[in-house]
Amino acid sequence: MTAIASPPPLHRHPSLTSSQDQARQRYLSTPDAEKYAAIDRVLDRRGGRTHEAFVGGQETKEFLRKTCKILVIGAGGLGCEILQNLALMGFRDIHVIDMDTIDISNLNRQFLFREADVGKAKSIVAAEFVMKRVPGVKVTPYYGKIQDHDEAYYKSFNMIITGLDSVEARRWINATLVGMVDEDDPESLKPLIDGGTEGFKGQARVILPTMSACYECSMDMLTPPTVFPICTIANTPRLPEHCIEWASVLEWPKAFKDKKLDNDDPDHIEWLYQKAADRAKQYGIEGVTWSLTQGVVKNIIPAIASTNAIIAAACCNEAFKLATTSAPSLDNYTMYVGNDSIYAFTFKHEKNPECPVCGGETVDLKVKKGTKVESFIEMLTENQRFQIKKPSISFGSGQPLFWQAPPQFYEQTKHNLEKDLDELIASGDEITVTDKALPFSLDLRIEFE
Amino acid sequence: MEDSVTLAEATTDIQPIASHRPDAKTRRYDRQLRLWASSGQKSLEEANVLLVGCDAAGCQALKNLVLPGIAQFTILTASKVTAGDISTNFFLLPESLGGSLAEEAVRLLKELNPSVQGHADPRSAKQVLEEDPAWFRSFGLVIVCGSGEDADVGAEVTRKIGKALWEGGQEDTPMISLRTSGFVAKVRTQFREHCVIDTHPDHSHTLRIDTPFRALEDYALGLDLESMDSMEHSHVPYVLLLVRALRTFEKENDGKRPIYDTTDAFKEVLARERKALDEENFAEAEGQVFAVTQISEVPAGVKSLMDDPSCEGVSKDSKDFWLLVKALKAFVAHPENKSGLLPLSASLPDMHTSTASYINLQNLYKKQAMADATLFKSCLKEVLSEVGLDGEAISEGDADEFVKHCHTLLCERGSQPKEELTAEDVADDFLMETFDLTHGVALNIAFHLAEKHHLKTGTWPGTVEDEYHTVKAQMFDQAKAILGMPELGSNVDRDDDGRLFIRPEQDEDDMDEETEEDVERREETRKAKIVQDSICEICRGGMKVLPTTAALVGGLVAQEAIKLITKQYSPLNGTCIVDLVKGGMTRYPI
Ligand SMILES: [Zn+2]
Repeated sequence: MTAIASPPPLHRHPSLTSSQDQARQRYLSTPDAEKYAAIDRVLDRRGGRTHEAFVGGQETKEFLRKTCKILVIGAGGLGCEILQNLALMGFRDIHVIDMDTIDISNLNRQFLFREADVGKAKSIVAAEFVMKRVPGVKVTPYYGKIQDHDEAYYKSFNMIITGLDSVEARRWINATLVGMVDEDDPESLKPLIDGGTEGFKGQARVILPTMSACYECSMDMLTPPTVFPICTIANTPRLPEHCIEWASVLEWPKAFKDKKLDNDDPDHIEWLYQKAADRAKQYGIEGVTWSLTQGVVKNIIPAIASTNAIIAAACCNEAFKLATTSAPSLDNYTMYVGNDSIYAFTFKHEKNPECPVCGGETVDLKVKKGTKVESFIEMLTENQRFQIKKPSISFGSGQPLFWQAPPQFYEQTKHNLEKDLDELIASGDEITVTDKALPFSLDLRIEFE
Repeated sequence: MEDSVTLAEATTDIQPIASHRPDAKTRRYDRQLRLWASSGQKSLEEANVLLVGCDAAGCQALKNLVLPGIAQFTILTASKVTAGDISTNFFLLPESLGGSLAEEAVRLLKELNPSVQGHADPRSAKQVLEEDPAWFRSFGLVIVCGSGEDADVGAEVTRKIGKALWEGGQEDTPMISLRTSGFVAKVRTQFREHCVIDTHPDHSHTLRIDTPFRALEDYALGLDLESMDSMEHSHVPYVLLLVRALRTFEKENDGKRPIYDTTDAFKEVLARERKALDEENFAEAEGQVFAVTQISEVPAGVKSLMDDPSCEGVSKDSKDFWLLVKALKAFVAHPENKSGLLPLSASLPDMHTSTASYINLQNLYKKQAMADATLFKSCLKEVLSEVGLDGEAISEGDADEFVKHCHTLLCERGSQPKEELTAEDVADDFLMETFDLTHGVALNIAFHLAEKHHLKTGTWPGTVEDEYHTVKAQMFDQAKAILGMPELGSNVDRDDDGRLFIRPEQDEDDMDEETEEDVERREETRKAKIVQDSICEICRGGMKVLPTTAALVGGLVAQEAIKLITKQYSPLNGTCIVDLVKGGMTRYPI
């Protein structure tokens, strides 16, 4: 679903008094040089560390204010801040994608939204707000998924900023942008600026697809999500979290065969809370609360306005520098920690030659002889580098070795689960792994030991 | 609601447990309550914040405080809205042009959260300083803007407000002051003393494996591992396994405890009780062997608090924090507390074991923790009565909260900014870094010089086009003096733009025989360039406020404000330099 909000009219404002309207007209007719005096300082003057390629002056300003087209992915905590900053820095052709609607719990930080907006599309409300506040900027919203767009769409931007809370979406856009790079066409390389926050901490990075480390290169740096073993949940609960997982993972599907658990439905959370609290009471475990139930089930990450402000500003600063060459780019990763005084650490994340997205080399994997296909699959899902949940495996030829879906292929290949992997392939053979979480297919060269 | 009743009825026959479904306010603040909890939220909802001057960075800071729900804020400035204000500040509108800067910004900031009160005070800070400097102390926190955008606030006003607040003595109001110029900025906190009970450490377990309390030791040694079936055996919590192995090890080694070099021998003792290789509890125990080599003691930070004069000389006027620390000291020395350690923490990490034995172990810790807390509270009562306070002067709830966090207490003592920077101050800066002159150190000096320039001339460097280069050259010479490096830059020339040019080196052929002098000169040139670049960057920005720099600084200021208001987490004590040319941040104590 596409929705284009048009910029508000610049001439008539019926709600204003005549003196306000006069002030408004006076501001709108103020020359750019006066309005943008603060920004022009760093575009007209060179800094000590400014790159030689910096032109500055009118040419740079024209590119920033007239030509540059920038895409913002996510209109949430970071997205709202990013849109505000880009508009004020002089970017005038901004596009924003978000598939979410506004929830009341967004209002403590997503400052472009008000209580009356709850339930509306984030991208559309955010775009309208920014256009109302900053005259002259055009923000084009898209209410939907990033996967709805093809390469041609992404190719039309000069750069992309992501403020996402999903690893999967980041992997997808990263793989798409790396895949788009055509060595003969420098225009095909789209810088990707990515930010993320958790509580008082956050990080910002600049990715030049194929040139610098990409998102996939550093998958092993992500903190693995907390996973509780099923046997603990089922048999030996010790923590309140174990009781909550029991209610959501084991009890819910039993009680409601055809109804999917909806994390956003308070009635569903209520049911889980009651179940979990009852089990906890039975075992003498303390600490099951409504808030914890919701936190565990939704995997809620604490989020505050100030951290989003810091990280979004760092990202937009990089966008501005890339668009104007007024200062060198971040090379290429900054970590910020605000809970223990102020601490920031900048370092260069190196490209991983074995990166399945930008490395170009097949990933080597050592497997013990006699490993069953079933345990091999388990190995893959536990590997921090891949972050996959339900992989399907094909022979190098493309023939299915074990496929999770569609059903007829599952039936055809499930007997292989019981077999040893070295019965099916020889040492040095390549296999291909695909998974819903992977926006690409992963080629592995298996070495038996 | 109705739906949930149907759901519960349809699927369970359990007694309904009272729902604690969150109300609208809790839902709005959910993502932050998971950080600072209701106690932190309560402090925020009582906070009264003053912003002196009004620019983009200041308004961004307020935005990040209005959203989480402070009680009220005031903006103090006599300035009128200019076109430059509107284009950089998201909380102004085109129709605000020419209007009161304070009123316009307050109106739009208030929209962010209907439960926050906002007040515009259209007086000039200078006027208030002359008439009633103590007025600034009526706020819980003061933030002073620092770009050149609001002419109402300059270097002098910042200094005077800092002094007025400092003169509040122990009742001083904390202050956060900022300076921004293009890509670079400075944030400084000022407070006399800031005490934190809940610093939010990564974890708060005190397992005491090396010094088990009586009940833990008796329980661990009393277990009969021999007669357990394999199921039970593989579910004995690792804490108990370690306590047992430690006792055996000590017996066999003349009472000596395992140290780093003897961990293998200790592991061997541990393995004696292992029945099968796949026993996960033993694997966990092996992974935690380092815990046995560590000796439980009163943490150095807490020890120094107990030796602090504020603890020694508590009186009825002391802060609760110091009365509590004094009670903690009494607890440690109390004859009933045989360990001589701080009160035990009731929290236990998860470990491989059955539900029953985990709960059992947890109850052992809880019981001891409760006994320690009771003893602590009796120590507190004594301290309170000694200074002539009522036994209830500190509530039981506050005392419990203190005990819970007593291993990671913090007291920061702040300072006023130096009026003159010396080579010695800067040398301290070097130590914070890698004994090297960095852009952060140089920017801190450059900001200091810019402030001095403003104090003297009333203008900021980089704002008067005719003086652009001469001011830069002056600042470079002043920086050399502060750095105590009079020879700095002796081998470099400057062009008309103030850019550095390094005099041609000797012939390249001589590179093999590079003398010590050559190395020194190269090093000097590098340092000269860092100083020059930093001065250049501040003059380039001309104390104007870039919206991205403002947003970043606004975020930093709000985080510090939240830490100071909630008295949770560790605040910045001193200066933080923001360098967005490269994207780094560094902090300094000055
Ligand atoms: Zn890569």
